[in-house]
Amino acid sequence: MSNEEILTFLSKDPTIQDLRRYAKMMGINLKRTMRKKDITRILKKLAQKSRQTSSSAAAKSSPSEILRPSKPVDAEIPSSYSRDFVVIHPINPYWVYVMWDLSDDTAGRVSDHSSKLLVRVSDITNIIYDGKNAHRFKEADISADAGNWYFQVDFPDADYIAEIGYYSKGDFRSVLKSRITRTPRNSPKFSDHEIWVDLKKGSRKEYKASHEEFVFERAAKSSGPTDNPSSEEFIKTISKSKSGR
Amino acid sequence: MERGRLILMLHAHLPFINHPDFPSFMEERWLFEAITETYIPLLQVFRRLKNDNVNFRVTMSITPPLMEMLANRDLQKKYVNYLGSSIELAGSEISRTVSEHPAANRLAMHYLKELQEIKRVYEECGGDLVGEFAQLQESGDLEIVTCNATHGFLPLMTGFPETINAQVEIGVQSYKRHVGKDPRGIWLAECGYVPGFDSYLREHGLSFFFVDSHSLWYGDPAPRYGVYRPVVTPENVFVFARDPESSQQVWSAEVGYPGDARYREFYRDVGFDREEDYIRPYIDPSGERCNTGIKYYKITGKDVALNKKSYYDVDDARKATIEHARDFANRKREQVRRLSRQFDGEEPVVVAPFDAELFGHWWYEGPLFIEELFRELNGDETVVPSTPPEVMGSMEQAQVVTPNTSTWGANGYNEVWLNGRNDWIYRHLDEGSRRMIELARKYERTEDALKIRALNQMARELLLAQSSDWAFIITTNTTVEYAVYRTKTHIDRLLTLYREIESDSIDDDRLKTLEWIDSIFPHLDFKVYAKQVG
Repeated sequence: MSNEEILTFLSKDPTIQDLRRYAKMMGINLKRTMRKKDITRILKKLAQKSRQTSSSAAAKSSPSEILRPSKPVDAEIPSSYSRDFVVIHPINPYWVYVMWDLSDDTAGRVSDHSSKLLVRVSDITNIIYDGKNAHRFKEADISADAGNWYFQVDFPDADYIAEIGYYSKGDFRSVLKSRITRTPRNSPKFSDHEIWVDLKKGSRKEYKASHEEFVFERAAKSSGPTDNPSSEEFIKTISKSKSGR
Repeated sequence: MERGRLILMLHAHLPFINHPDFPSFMEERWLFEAITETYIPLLQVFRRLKNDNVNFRVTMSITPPLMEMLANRDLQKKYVNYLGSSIELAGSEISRTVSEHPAANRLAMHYLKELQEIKRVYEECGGDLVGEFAQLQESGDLEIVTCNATHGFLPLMTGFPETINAQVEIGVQSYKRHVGKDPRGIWLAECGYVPGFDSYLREHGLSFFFVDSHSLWYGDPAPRYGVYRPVVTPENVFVFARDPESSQQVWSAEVGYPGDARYREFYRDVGFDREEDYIRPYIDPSGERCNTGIKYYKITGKDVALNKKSYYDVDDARKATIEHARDFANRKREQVRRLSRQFDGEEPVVVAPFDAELFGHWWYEGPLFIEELFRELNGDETVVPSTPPEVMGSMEQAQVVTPNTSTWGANGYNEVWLNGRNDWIYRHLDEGSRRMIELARKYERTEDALKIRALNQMARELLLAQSSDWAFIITTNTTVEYAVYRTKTHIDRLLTLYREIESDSIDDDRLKTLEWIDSIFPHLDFKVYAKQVG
């Protein structure tokens, strides 16, 4: 509420009820015994105060922004930071998310070799990846702009790497590589032996796994392989389902 | 003997929302409603149980942003105003309802009394609610754990170990500042866990945390006792996993307790029902209607339209609460007996975690349910209410298990916080982390006081942008504009500070404003981001 707005309100000779409501709206604490002129005086003071704030700091920004700097705004933030990176995150056991950006230098260098850029996600579970030995991979055509892609992958509990690259004479040339990520498991991993810590002594012991394995009474829900996490339909479903919160 | 333990875990959290330059701000009401409807009612329940010598144990996470807001003077003043206004409305409602219906009139009087009690509790402790909860921790009835700094979603920060470390370290420091001692455990935001996170916890002296059920079911290896005995991670941190049965009993749309026809209907509120002229002082100044907490109707029936609901009856609802508390206690007894038979003498441990705000805010009778549950279990030989440290102290040995990557969100993984609607956030959070780490290392030894303040503020902007709440709100499609703008605004402030620091052109006035509005963690030291981690 600006100084003018408050003064305009007061100039209309408001009733005591209106004054009380107005003061409350402005977050002013009133005593029950206060009379019309008391509340008017407080509001006039407030009007003065808001004039002071706006005049003292109005040099650089508009008055409303200065009066209300905490208001979250639709700030313009860059769509790209012109930096080389490609990251991969698992979304669930069957989907990974890849996001990337290219610096102007890299984008320029790539365009000297090929007009077509790709993002590739490779399954490199249990191998030392040399660029050629992935178990399987998937690709998508992209542009040199900052972007992202959702990939459906074949296996939970598997290692994936994302790369940005292009084809030259039939070979994939990698320009950027992500770190390796692992998709979460969606089934129990039973093992032949168990490790236990003796909490009093701090020592570790290994046991043969018990034969009467604990029976799971209910399996966890998880999205199926075909539920695309970027689709509106999917988001609507998860946004409705109640979980911990 | 068949005996087991019950850990009731309440996760109390709200994102940091502070608009001291506004006389009132719609989203600040989230805190005020939670204080009136959940935090103080829980405190009253704990005190009554204590007075009556009832044995109870509750574990609570009070997250750093929530502790910061509860201790914030501006917000405290605004809360007192809010409460005053609620009391005034309840008073007016008493006169209004005289001619409407005796049931509504009785309820209006009930609300007035209830609100006056809330006011008394708040005034008696001078607004220091964290201090009141901390006192209950001293007597061993309550175990308060911390949370990572701003409830950031850690599974999507794995590219920046420094950032994960900062979230954990600041969460521990903030707890220490507000509670006066080190936290023993942590609630990881959204139960987000990725193998390896245990090393950050161990590093900061945290000895236990919580995960969702499938984190252990699909852990490596699948634990011998499923989710019903805590395990330790390779770094020797204890893991407590959620019991799906307890969640189901409380949450399920079909059989969950809060849906009982006798309970209060959340979606009928005088904030929406009364005519505009009358209700205006009690809703948002913009005229946008909102909840006031004065509600006269009961759920009545699942398929009953909102305008066809019957009047709420406090005594009937109380009967329902007692029935449900008894039913829950019986189910826990049965569960413990059933599990005990399979457990070669080990005590089953049942972990029931919930959002604290479910109790009171969403489920009006929830705090009373907790009270009646502990009264029912008082002295019980089968189900012993416990805290995680008590359970840990009672254990001779623990199985070593690496929990699976998981969250407690819908479907159990990351899709609530990473999907087609909110994925755009992470490019900016990553860039914020990169720049924060870069400048923290560059200026680690600077003695320029203005620069240090700007760097600290840059860290606050990053932390505030990282709250998982923004991505969550965008997915659930509630106050989307606020969440989107908050994210963009914090990123924008961070980028501006970065430019100013690098070009030696820090605007002191603007910095002061940011320190005032984004005032979370006043003692924050940006150098936390300079540490070599991972």
